[in-house]
Amino acid sequence: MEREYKVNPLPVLTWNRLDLNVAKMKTDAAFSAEDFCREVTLPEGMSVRTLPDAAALEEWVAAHGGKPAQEEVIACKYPMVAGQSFPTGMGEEADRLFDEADAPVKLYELKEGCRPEAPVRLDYLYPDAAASAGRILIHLGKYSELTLIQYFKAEKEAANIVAGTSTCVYLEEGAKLHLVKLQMLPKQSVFLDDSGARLERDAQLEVTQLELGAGTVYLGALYDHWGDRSSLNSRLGYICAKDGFIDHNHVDTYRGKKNEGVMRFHGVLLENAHKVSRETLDFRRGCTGSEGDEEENMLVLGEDAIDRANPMILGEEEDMNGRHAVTIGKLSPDMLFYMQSRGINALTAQQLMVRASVNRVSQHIPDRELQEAADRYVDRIFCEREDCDAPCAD
Amino acid sequence: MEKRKDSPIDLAEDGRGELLADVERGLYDFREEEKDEDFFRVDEGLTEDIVRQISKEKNDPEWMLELRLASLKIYRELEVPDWGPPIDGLDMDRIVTYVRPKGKMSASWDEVPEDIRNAFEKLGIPQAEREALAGVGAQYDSELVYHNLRKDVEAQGVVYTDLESALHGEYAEMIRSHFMKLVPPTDHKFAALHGAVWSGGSFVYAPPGAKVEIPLQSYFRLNAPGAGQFEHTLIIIDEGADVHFIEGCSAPKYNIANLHAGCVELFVGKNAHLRYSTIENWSKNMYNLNTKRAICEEGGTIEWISGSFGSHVSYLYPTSVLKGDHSHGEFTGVTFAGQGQNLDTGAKMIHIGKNTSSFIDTKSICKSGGISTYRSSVEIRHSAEGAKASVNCGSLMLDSESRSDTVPAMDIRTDKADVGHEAKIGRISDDAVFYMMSRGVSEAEARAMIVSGFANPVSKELPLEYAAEMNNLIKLEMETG
Repeated sequence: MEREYKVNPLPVLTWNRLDLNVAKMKTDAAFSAEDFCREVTLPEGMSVRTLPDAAALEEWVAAHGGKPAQEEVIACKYPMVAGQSFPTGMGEEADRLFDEADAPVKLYELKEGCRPEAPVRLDYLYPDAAASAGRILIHLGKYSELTLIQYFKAEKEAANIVAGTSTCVYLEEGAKLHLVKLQMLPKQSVFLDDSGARLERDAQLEVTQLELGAGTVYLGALYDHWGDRSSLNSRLGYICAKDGFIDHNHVDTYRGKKNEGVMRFHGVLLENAHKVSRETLDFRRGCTGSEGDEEENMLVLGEDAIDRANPMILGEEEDMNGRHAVTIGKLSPDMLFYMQSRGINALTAQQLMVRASVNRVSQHIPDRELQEAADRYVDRIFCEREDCDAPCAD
Repeated sequence: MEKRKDSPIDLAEDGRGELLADVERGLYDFREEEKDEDFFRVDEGLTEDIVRQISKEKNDPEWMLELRLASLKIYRELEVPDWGPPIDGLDMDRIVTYVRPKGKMSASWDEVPEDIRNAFEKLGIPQAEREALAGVGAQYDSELVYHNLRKDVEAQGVVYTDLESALHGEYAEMIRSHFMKLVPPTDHKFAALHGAVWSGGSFVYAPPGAKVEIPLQSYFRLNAPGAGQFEHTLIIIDEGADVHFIEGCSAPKYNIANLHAGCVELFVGKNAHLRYSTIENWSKNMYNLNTKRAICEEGGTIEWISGSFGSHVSYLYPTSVLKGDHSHGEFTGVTFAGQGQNLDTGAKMIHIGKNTSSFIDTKSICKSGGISTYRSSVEIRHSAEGAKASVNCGSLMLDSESRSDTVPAMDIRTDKADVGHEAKIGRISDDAVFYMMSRGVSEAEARAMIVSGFANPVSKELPLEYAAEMNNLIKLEMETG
């Protein structure tokens, strides 16, 4: 039976006619709690256990600083995250989806002061027709450091998959996490990725996320600077190919003092792709000295592409600086002429530009094999186009 | 004026009133007591009988009565917006939708009733007319009381008159074919309300090639407590013509809600140019739910200059529909939200024609608990190949009691467009204040100068007299807010 979930809510509502306030995600998938994550050997100081349900997650959150006080709903602000024990970008209806699947929460914990050198890689390998809902919670103790990679892939290229994943992150004082997400599911798939992060004093979170596959993608991320002097450095790259749809919602909330946040978005829209983005810097009263910077760079390579965006800054604090910028561009005739004059045809010129856009994110993936896999995936997108006459290298 | 105990919005009793009372806005906040024998007013509330009564009072043609009644029906069907500042304090059952001074509109200041003339004298309107304007319309409550146009402008064939007269004159058909066609009553609840009870406002027609080198102005004064003002401004600029129109608005402050739900429809012809400037200084008990929209034909240009300083709550987003190829829209605006104000302002640009271009440049300032929201949308339709759009919005917060949000949206449906958007929110730099203080400027003066400089992109676009008025308003807010 088809169900509708209202996800990726704007923290502040705007005109309904724009259809940006929330994404209405419809699915008839019967989600199972199987997350298809391969066994992984964890480094010393790191452990994994399971919180069986939402109530256990709420208990855990209560024991680790609690959740934010009930958000004050003023002027249509914060309408859809108030009910979450761990606020996320996709909002409380995404919790409902995971709850309905009885998805347990895998809790990965790294002890105080532990700093394993090698990244921990979680490979999610989905079989055909999988409808998966998996949740993880990453908890880093004080002054610990970790790189964690989530790699989402199908067992075979023709697979039809609906995959949902929820990633909550709790960084204690001085902890550092580099969270890497690479998604390369087949184009007929649907991918939902919901994230939330809470940063205590001096915590540092770096997020590198590359969404290359899946025809329909919903992404939500809510970063919450609770402590003072915490920092976020987030970069998202994506390609939305023919008939594709991506809807993402990123919120960076500043509560503590002297926090810093940088969010960068590098998107490519091909042919008739459709993208919706919501990007918010949210400065709460008391976040003195905080600075947030958000920038979206879109490359639109399809005359029927649709690009909708709502980048916002919300300010309740005088002593802060917030900036956002959007550029939406195309392959200019001058650039194309220059490339053609050097023997590069139009399609190859597009491919070079797309690779350049993707490389701005993929270069931060600390895994050579995955970087190369991402490059090959981009090449394959172009090889499969009807107007491509070059043989596929893969 | 005695405070009404049963008022729908009681700013004094909810704790904000006393603070508001501290703000001395003597320039605008004077009241002319309205004697019952000098004014005609309908009952409070909104009923079909009231709508018919207004229509009869105004001697509407039949089609206008039908439009009013249809609008009333739409008003009842539509919901209050769920996305903007709260308007719970606005109780339509307590609003008087039509208040008319007894006396006819005049082309001579001497014939305007003395109390009303005094009000406009205090606002400097006759003086402005003599020194800087090509024509003036002055509306008091629901009706125009004065209208005049310079002979040399009239000689070009320019028409500038009240809308009611125009409805019955040689331009009746033109009005019928344009009135509420750009802002239909179905647009939103308060457009429907406007359609039902509109009264007053101006009609401007500039024939092909007319050049009006100095501005026309309408000034709107809402004096009656608990009243609404619903003026309709309809401007049609024919091919190649060029006009600058200025509107100003003010009202005395009462402890009950007043409502302004005006409507502005601007038709800019081929290669025509229209600049529409507004200095809005409604009192801080006003709900300003105004709708402004322009449509540009091929090569046409619309420029909006907007200063929003008054009102308790504002919803204001002038819209430019760039229908013709190579048409151009600009919006330059400043909003200053002080104590007790929640001002939701911005602009909309809709690109339809090829090679259209738009530019939005806004500044928001908030202090003393004021809430300022910049809200905009830029839509580039599939047909708008070669479109270019640029949006810049800056916000300045002067304390941590206030709130400033920017909520811009973009909807781009062609790959042959260039769009840029940038927004910044921040505070006054301590270094800048320190530098100015080291040169003998007091801290308060330094802060006021920085705020005036921040708003300069708007004030420099206004005629000198209006720029000075805007700077005075900023100074007033900085000193007293």
